[in-house]
Amino acid sequence: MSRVDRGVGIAALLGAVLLAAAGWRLDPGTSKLPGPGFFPLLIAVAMGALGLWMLLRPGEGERSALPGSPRWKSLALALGSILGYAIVLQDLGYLISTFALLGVQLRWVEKQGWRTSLATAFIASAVSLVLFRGFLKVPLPVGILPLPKGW
Amino acid sequence: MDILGSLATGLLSALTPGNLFYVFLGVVIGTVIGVLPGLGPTASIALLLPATVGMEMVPSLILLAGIYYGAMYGGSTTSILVNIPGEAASVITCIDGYQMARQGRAGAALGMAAFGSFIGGTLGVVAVMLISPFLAEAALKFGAPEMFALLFFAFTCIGTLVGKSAARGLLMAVLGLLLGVVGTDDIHGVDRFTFGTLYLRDGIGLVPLAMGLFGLGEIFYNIEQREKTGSVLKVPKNLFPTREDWKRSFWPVVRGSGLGFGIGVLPGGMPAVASLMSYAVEKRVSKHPERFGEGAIEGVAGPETANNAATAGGFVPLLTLGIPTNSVLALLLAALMLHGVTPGPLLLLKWPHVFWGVIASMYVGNIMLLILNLPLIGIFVQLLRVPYAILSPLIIMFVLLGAYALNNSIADVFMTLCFGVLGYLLKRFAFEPAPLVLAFVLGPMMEVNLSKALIMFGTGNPLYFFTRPISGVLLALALAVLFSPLLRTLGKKLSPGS
Repeated sequence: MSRVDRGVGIAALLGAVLLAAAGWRLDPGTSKLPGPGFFPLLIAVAMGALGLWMLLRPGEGERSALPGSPRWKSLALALGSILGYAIVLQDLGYLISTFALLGVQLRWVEKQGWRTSLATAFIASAVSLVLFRGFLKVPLPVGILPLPKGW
Repeated sequence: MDILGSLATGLLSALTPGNLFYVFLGVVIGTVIGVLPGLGPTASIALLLPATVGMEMVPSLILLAGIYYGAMYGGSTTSILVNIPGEAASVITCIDGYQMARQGRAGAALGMAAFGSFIGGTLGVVAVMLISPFLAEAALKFGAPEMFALLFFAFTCIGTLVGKSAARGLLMAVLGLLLGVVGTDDIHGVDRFTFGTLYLRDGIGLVPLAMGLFGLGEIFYNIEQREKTGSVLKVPKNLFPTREDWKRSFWPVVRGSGLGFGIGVLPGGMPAVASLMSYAVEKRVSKHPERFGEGAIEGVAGPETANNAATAGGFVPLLTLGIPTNSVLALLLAALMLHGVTPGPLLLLKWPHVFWGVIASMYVGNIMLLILNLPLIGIFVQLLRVPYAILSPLIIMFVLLGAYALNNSIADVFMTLCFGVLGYLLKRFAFEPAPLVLAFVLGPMMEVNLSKALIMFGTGNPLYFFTRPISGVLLALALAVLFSPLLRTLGKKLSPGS
């Protein structure tokens, strides 16, 4: 059994217990008249059984760790920048937030030069704003930057 | 109306200038997506789904279906010329396709992939057209117990057949069921797992789920595990296979069409599974199996035909039973429902123009793809010269934009990000996300039909399902599918040599 399988098996068993408790609280009803907790309870039973299966089955040699050197910092930066984007999008507006997101992704995650990063970020955010807000009338957040009338 | 008459009506609809434009747009976008590694048809259709809400029903479905089968055509190009599959169904084409290209036979490989795709896709559409009306008529006799049994059978197939391990596949499917119950319960009106938030009362959206798992998840994985790509081999001028190539490919194409369609109809029968099975069959029946892996054209012709036939086959259960067999078809189901159409046996009766319009557009689309793919392959290949480092942030931008545009809601952006992280983790630890998405779609239908069956027949005895012939057979099949891997595992443990 691989370490991943063991971890997932234990997590599934714990999840099954929590789900069963939640299903019970929701009222499972009876098999003649099922309540809102009936289906979640069935899912909990299936999850528990699969958790046990994961723990008991022999290892099938699946990939649990990948070869090569993972680029953890780049991944964390990519995730962090998207999270930041979602937080500031409404206040700063689409154009500024998207420009910043693309700039960070291109310059620091993808290691492109300053000129390429800034030019690509500007063109992509401006073109997508014109396309989606201007033509397709998607109400993208305006934020702090004024937009032409009728947009 | 007879089948030919209905098809003629469908063709009249598909050949209107507006619909022809959407077929063209769909197959071009699909080919581009297929050529570009990192953005599959699931994420792309999820991205475009909100944009199609304002469109009329038939054009929007023609567009989305075109993207799906167009991606199957385009995927082989990168497999053959760069040794990187454009999408999952073309993974197997890398083996012999790339070897052929290295031996200077890229033209024959690309040409045979295009012709095989055309033949498989077209024969598949013919079979969809012939089978669907009969299946839909039979399905009209289904009550809630039969529908539940059918959905349960689909669920077990999806969980056990997709991916390398049945335990992992089923666990993903169960997770999908769990995500599907989030929101207000349709039958009792009770909030379940909403944690007091208003956003979750409507349930988790399929689009943020699919875009996160397949779009952002793939990008995150590629950021972490960036591999150096090989150089793009030159596209030769002559793309027509030789007479000898045709002779060697004839039976693989015939077998690929039948096998691919058969697999496509089954729940969990994704095009990737069809191409893999076709490769295995061709290698087994070949008189020279040692040539496979060294540039055998049969290893390109069979799988490329099979994945396109499977793509067409998947439309049978979707349009006649309302059951999607893979994640792309789950999104097409969502597209139908967004337009107020309930896919299932009544589709052919209530909305025949939708069914026949889409079928006819698939004929037209396959011809367009053949015409596009042979002379324009050089142009599509130019796309591969755009560095992935530039492409990846742009894909992120479009995914987030699509997520926001769905309901003009930041919450959808957060939800997409959460599923992106989940998608990355699943890929990182070799869990297949497709069963999760399919079970997410099938789960609510399963629950409603189970509850209806139990309440209407009020026996309280689960064995009641086995007393009705259709549901009994379907449940017995489902249990056989479910327990076969478990029995195999136990057998392995108990065998003396283990």
